[in-house]
Amino acid sequence: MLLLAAAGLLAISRYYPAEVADVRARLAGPLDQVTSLVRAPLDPLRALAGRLGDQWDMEGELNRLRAENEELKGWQWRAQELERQLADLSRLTRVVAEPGLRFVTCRVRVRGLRPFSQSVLVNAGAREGIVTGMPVVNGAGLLGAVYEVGHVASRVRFLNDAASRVTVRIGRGGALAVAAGRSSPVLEITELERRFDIAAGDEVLTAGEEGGVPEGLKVGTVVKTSRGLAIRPAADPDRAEFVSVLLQKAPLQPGQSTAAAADFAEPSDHLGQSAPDLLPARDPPVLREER
Amino acid sequence: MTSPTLAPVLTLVLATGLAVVPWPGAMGSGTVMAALVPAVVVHYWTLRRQEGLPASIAFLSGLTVDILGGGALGFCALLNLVGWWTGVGCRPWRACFPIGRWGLAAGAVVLMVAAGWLAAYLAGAAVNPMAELLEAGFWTILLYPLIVLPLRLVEGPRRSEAAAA
Repeated sequence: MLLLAAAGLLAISRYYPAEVADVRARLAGPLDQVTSLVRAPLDPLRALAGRLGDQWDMEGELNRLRAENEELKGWQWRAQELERQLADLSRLTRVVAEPGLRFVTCRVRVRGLRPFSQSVLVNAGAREGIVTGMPVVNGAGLLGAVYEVGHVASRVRFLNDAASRVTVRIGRGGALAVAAGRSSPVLEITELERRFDIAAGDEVLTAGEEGGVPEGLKVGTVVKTSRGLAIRPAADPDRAEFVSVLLQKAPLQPGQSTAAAADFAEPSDHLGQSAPDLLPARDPPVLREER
Repeated sequence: MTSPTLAPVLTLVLATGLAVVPWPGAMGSGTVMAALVPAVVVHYWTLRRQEGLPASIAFLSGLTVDILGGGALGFCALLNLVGWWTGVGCRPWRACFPIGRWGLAAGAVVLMVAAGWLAAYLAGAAVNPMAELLEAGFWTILLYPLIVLPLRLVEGPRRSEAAAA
């Protein structure tokens, strides 16, 4: 009987994915809070595993950071010079300052179950103003986007998930392309503008989508693989412990009016004042504003 | 110590928590292996004490991992049921040496991998999971003694001897 129930659930998951995702999103938050009691004794083990992994990688990481530091020193003066020029030009042209990005930083609670998704469950949801489609980043760059939202938890789909697509610009020429996830460590480059040449080492940034992912977020670098050129994401999803959800205006869904979408445009004023009071005591998501 | 009658359920609950913890750096087959661990725990207990772990608990444990993990509902529930079913089916041979029980567990993991592939296919997984499942199955078989070591400690030597007898 239970075998039949499991087979039935699998069939339902296949033929009614939207309904299943909705049920899962509603249940995941409360279930996460309940199971966190069970997982609490495992936290020291997890921390130990993290420290061991860090120690293991330390020498290679140190060498990489030294090289990166040298490179950055070279860029530092250039950035300062450009910043001065930009400030001078802005004063001359009376440019209106762009609004800062608002974001919610939250903790990764559960790793997604392979082979179905490259995703994580994070401890922030509709209560913090998160809606489906919002981009998710960490210090290294774009990680993915929110695709299931519950009241207190959301699920984030990584860039390398088979269902992920993001419009990008590659290299100095800014060639437009689509980076598609293939459930592998690298992203496939599709729909590349033919008039541009790209090469390994080229930087890949988001091209920006109306009401979706903002322009200029770091996606990764072009690398050479056995199947040709691909993109290695800058942000490693397997090491993401804390992520930030950008409280961007949600992309329009079919059938949704622009007025409804505008409701999502400024959720931050309310959140900025009252969010800390609403947050759970354990692993609270942090609301910040970047200028 | 844990009550002997509750030990199977409590250790399965702990293994379920273990399966969904985002281990740092865990990737690819590592996350698949995490889903196999509760099924191995189910197999371990049903081989020794079928009455201590009802199939419904195994099913619910798998369903919890499915909901939290964002996969197709029923995938881990099916893996746990395969673990339960193989544990019950192997009971006539439970008195064999530890290496023999390791072999029984290896057979159970092979069936879990096959069931996992079939379930992923039925649920329309976006990618063919066979390579990851095989790798996860290999590591689960290899690390079986380590995985069940805490269960042996919870079970205690007397219970082990009684089961062997």
